[in-house]
Amino acid sequence: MVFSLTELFGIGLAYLLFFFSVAWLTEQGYVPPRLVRHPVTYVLSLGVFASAWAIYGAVGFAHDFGYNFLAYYLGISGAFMLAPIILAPILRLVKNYQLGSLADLLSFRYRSPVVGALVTVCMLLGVMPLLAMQIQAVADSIHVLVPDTSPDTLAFSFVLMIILFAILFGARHISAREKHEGLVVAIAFESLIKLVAFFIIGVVILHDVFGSLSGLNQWLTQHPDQLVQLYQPLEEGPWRALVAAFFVAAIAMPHMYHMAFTENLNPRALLTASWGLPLYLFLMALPVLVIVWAAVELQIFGNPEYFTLTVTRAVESPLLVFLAFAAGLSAASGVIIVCTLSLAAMFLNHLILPLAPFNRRRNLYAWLLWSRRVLIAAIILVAYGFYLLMGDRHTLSELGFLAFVATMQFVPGLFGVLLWAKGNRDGFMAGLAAGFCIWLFGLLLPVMLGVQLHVSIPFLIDDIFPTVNNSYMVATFAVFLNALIFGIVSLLTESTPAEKLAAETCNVDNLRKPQRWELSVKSAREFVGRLAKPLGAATARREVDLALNDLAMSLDETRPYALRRLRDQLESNLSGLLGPSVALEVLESSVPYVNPAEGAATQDIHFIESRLEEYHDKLTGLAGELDSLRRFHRQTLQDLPVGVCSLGSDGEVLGWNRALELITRVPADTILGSHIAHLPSPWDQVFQSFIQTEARNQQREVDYEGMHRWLSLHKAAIGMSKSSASPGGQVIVVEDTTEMRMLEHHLAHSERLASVGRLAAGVAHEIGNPITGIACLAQNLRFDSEDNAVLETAEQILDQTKRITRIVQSLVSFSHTGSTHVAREPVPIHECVQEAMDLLALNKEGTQVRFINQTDPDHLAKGDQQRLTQVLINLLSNARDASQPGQTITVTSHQKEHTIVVEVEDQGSGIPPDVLARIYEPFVTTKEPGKGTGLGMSLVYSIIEEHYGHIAIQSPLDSARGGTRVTITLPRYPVLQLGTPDDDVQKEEPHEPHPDR
Amino acid sequence: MYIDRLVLIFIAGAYVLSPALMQWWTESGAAWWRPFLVWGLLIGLTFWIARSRDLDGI
Repeated sequence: MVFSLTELFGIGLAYLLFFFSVAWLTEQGYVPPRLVRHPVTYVLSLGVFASAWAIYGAVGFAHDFGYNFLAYYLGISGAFMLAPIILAPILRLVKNYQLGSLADLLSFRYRSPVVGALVTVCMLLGVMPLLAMQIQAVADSIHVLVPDTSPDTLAFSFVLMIILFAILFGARHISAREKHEGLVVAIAFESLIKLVAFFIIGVVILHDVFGSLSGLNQWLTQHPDQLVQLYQPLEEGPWRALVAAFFVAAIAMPHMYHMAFTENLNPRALLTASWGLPLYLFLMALPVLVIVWAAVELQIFGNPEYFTLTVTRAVESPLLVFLAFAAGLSAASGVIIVCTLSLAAMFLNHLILPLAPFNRRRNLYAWLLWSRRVLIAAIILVAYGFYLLMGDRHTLSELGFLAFVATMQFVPGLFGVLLWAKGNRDGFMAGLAAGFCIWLFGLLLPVMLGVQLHVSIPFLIDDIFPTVNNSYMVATFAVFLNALIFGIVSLLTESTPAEKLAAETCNVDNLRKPQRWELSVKSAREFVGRLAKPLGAATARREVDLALNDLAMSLDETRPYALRRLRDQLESNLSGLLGPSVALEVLESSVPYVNPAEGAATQDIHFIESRLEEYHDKLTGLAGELDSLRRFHRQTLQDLPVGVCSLGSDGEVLGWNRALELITRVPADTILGSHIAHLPSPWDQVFQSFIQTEARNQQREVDYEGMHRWLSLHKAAIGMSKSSASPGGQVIVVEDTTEMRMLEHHLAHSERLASVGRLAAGVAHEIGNPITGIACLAQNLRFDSEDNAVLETAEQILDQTKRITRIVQSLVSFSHTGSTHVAREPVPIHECVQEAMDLLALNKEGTQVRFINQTDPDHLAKGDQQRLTQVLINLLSNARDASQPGQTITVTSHQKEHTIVVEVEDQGSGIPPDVLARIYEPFVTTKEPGKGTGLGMSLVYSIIEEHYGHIAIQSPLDSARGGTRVTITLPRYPVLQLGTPDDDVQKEEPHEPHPDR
Repeated sequence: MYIDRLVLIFIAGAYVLSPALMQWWTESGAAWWRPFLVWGLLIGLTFWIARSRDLDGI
């Protein structure tokens, strides 16, 4: 005897305490979060799959059934190698909807509490043999090491310890999104211990018994019967049923579901697990054959399932025996703890909560916690009872196989979750009930009771007594019948709308098509009040806050789109706490949709679009092409230069393109999903009044952000045909016609001015002749009379005719602007300015001001000197008329690379803003009637434009003192070309004009 | 995640065709570690595939 019973008990207790310390230290934050979330930790935590079967059962299985033992490893390895296809969609559902167990997942998919209850009952029954197997493995391993002990008493002590640790691990606190980081790390650590211990055992045995690998090969050459025993059972049939059973275990076994999905801390780690777990199991499988062959070589008899212990004892290494015992204990305890936690959650959510609704006056969280603790203890005790009932007649692999084929009955239901949207609850329940009954009466009861029950199924199974070797036939038939009934009943019965929606949500082939049902609540705050009734005020507030926090929303949220997201999030969070069936019931009773039976208002287009954006690079073939087409149409709509807004039939904003964002200054993010009435003023009124009118087109004037805008609105109904999945509602096109209106006004004004110009020219021509006659007669009158009064009158008539002539000349020159040829010669600005100043100085009647010419004599503009002088005369004249006597008018110039800038600055009264806006228009003047024609600035503008120049006016320069600055920019005459013939200069490309209007 | 039907057909096909694989595996004179070799190669292949992909929508 290597160890005494007390020593083994001490080892067991110390090991479990160590195991718990790892979990406790992790939860206290002593283990770095990076390590906790590391993919390797996740992969090792999945090593919980390697139960007592991997340490003991697999060795016995390899001894009795040869290479069939590999099915245990290869089945689940296959499932994980296909993780991105099979497991990732389930992980997505689990993460999004907080589906903590397979019963949660299936009741979520089939939208029925009865489904959850049925799955829970089947799972409890199905997994019992697996739990009993773990208890039996620990008890038997102690019994093998200390033969004169009672296995049942040992088993009971082990069970009590495990109850304590399961409660400490998994039911110390509770929350909607409970992640047992401590448990994950502890299970990962336990897997590492198993692997290292088992691998060391393999290596040491290989070395001690066969010397080396070549020694083993040599031994096999001498014992060819061992290889025959290895291959022969493969040809007998159960291989594929075994692989299928272990393949399904990745999802269907509660401990695998719990570690792979519920406790997943890092979704990307699933990719690492796709090769990491197969590698782990590969390493775990390697020592199995070495142990079997070592037992043969050492001529060890007895139960082959415990060769791991008996061989290590035979090589007389206490360390190896300790490692073997620790590995077995570690494997068994890990499975029991995780499995029980998962089963307790299932039992609570699907059997207790729906049948015994919680009292809202009690603390919900504490009530859930204590219920879970009691359930953990009860389930482990039931498993112990099952172990006692089974007795020691069965091998570990027999028990394990029973459990694995039981969980195969969930395969048709899982197929409905992932791939077959037409599968419904009636089909699932009928199929599961039928398949499970066959498992119960065809496998479990005959094996458990040892009854010589002969099973006969016409054409398939011919009168067999189920044993491990042939029970695969019964198992395969049960699954086949289950699937058949599931298919037939699903096709014959109708799914409920909620079930169809859940099927689409789960189905990996379909994108989610959420419906926009109208909610009965209008704000996030209202959720708290409604949920307080079933959950209690404090719990309701806490859950709503949590959901709002998840969605980055505030309690003041009122957008219908956001409220629907909040309801979904609450359902998901409560599902994690109470299970999907109860969560659904709580929300349907407290926060119902308005008339969901009448169908959705429309599909949630915005949500579908955002989902499609996530998927777009994964869509291939026809789906990919359709998505490209969708993107093209969407982009077209987005980039359309007119504003487009699409509305649901209930007035919810579904689309808001970029042009509309620019017109309204309302970003799409803030309005999508809101009701149209929630638009900021004045747009709410604009859109709502337009929707209510019968007219399909409307012209509106809107004052917005200090601007007056003209809008052209058009609307059209979006088809309501259900067959085309059209969302209904209407589309509104908004066109900003402000610029066009301005242009129209300007054009009309210009037309009027042109008419005035033509009229002026005609009038000037017609008036010219009589005026000349009047002037001649007035001249004659001066010689015809000596009377001073008559002479004075004649003089005044001449003055007035001169004035009329000046006006007429101005009119003629205005009407002729733009028609004359403009020379392109060097114009010395200084000379022009000086000439204009000298001319104005001659007029003694004007205001006496001081002209200062500060222009540079070297500055040469390109143009017509005569016309530019006229510009300066007009500008200086205007400046003088606006100035007070004694004020100065300064003209400066400076040159740039291609331009000459001339500035005329006065200290006068300045130009009123209303006149400044129209200053270049003809007949606009600030002067008194009779003093100015109002054509000066218009002429200046025309001349500058003809020179491809630019004019700008700044007035007043100073708000207190007035003053005006006119800046003229003219093309600079190129210095190098100075002196070249004019013709050459004229061939140059002129600069583009920049009229300042 | 968009599932590829071809992959599913491949899985079903591989399962149906597994007797041929079994025959190759159990043919006389095969080394006892032959299934481990195939298993190891599959792990290598999965590792290579997993390096270049991402899990969408999770």
